[in-house]
Amino acid sequence: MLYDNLCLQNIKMDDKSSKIAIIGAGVVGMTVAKILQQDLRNANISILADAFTQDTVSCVAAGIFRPGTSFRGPTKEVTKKWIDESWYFWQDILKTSEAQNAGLMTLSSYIFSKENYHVTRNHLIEKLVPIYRPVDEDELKLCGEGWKYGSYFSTIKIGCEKYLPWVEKSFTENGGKIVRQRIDNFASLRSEFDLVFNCTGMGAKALCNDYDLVPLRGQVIKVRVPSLKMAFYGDYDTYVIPGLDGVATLGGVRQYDSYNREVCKHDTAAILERCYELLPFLKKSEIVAEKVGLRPHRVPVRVEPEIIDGVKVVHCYGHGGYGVMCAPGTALDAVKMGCDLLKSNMRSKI
Amino acid sequence: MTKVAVLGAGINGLSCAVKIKEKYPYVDVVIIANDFTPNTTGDGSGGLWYPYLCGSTPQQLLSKWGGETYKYLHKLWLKGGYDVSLMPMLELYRHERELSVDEWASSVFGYRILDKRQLDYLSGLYSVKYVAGRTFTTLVVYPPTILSEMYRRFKQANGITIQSNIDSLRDVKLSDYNVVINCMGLGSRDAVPDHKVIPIRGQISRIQAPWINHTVVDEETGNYIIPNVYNCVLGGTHQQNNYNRDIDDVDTDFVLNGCMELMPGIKHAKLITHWVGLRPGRDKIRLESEERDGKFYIHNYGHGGSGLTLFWGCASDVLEIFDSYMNRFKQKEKSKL
Repeated sequence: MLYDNLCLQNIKMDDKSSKIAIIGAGVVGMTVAKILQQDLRNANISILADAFTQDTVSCVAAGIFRPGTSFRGPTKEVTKKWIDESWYFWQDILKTSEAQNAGLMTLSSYIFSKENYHVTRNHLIEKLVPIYRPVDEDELKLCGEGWKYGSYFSTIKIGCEKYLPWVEKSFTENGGKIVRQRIDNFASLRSEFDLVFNCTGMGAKALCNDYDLVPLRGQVIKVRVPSLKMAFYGDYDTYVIPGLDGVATLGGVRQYDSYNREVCKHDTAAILERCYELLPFLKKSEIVAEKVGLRPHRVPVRVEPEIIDGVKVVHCYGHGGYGVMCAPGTALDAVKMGCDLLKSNMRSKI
Repeated sequence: MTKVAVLGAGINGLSCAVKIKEKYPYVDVVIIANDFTPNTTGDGSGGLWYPYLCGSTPQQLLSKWGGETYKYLHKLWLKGGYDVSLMPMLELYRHERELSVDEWASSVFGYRILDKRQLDYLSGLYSVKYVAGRTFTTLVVYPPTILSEMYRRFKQANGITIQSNIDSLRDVKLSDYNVVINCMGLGSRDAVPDHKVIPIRGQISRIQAPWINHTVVDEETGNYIIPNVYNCVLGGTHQQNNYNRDIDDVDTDFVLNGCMELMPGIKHAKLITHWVGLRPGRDKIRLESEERDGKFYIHNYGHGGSGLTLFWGCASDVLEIFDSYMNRFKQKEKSKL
């Protein structure tokens, strides 16, 4: 394992094992559950959520490991640590026979721009992924005429439609509980749980009155195109990302503060036009679904402990468009904070 | 009146026939072959663009023929509907070696010698210590689609096909034709005859594994993984002078276990089928004209494991030779007047 099992070292197991709740069953909640269960084998862990798998924002996302350059933790160092630790977490699964069951695959990608070279760069992963280089002159013609700048990089993708059920299966097999329930306040959990992880994504806005949490509306089109084996990016948030089973994700839009959960036909037209310009052969492919997700955007992503109404809470939300890729790094920090909280005797708000 | 017989309906025969017939619509072009798609050697192969097992064929020819074919396949990929896939290819070595840059490197996208960081990553990913390697962006076809598209094109140009065996270049069935394009592959060994042509037996397994999206070739074990639009090919063998067309269990184990070592997830994949093909090997590809018994032959055989890598460029050279034959013929006709 490439991360420390701090919990195992610090918590002394006694007869009374801790009762822990994780609110939220998206990629963040599920990953917290997985790590927690590995680290605290005797703990009593319950996931409380009102949306699972297909109903989560996590499953709308393509799940490519490529952070936006504005992705932000509390400090530059923490941001880098989250990204790096997430990468190694995914690599540990990727090299095993469970990779595709867990929704993981390697992914190489071309990113082109007609406007400027800098949008094709990514300082957050350039030194982390095995290959990240500018394209050669001839590669600019890969998708036809007009592209002036580009990069080629090798990364990975996590398909949550596989990852979430995969985690859930092993979680419940190891004694974890799943409760379909909506949580409106922390006080209601005080009597039952010693520790609560708040992985509610957009739900934290109401649950914590967090005005810094802003929905960043995304819309994608799922298209069957088994000949696509690489990801492609163009200008203005245009991307085409292959899936595990021949269905690719076409995107996208990034609408700040929009709560519209319905598919917008104008966005569909715009996305298709931009994607068809990038890869003309997509015009021949069948559209199988259209989805909308409200990315829970916050600057910085909130990973910190808090005592709320006498309940020990660790927040882990606000990942915006980078929840799938960075769930592990943030979850590892959250779990460490949770273990520290469990050890501490503080009963009042910090 | 020029009458052209193209012997062999594999990828080389079909492309030569198409190029000649499309340029010379008033010339009779007939393909005579025993096997047509989907029963040719190329149909069952992996469909990877990669100069492989073509002996000592000069590098600049591989670059010329391969480059033209690569360009053609890239166009088909971009157009869509031809079952062509673009993907990274990794060629990996377990022992230290100085890797030179292939001459055809400038004909493909993204060719690089791998550096230590990349090799360390791949070693971790595949749980095998790789110490040298190359990568480039390659194209993988689904051979039956390319072959049937070429066949369709030939028929659309009013080409004629005849299903028949040709045992020899002197076969009486060829008496009506003044130009014979020999694309018989392994059949050339007895038909020419040319004992430099030898079978290079390849056995593969096909699996359903849509999550595999790049080609890996372990140059030292001989295992390879080549995904295409519909399934994924695991390989392989290259047994020289081996005529065995039956599945060999020892080879099956080698293919499956070797590939599982690289990608353990393969053990969960559904097995579709095993297949054997006899590659038409030769010390080098024979692409040249020959005048014999009053006929003009253009030989285009011995492509080894590189038929689908070189076909379009080779067909261009065949067409060029045919062009000069036709010009000579025209000159002769002119001088007669």
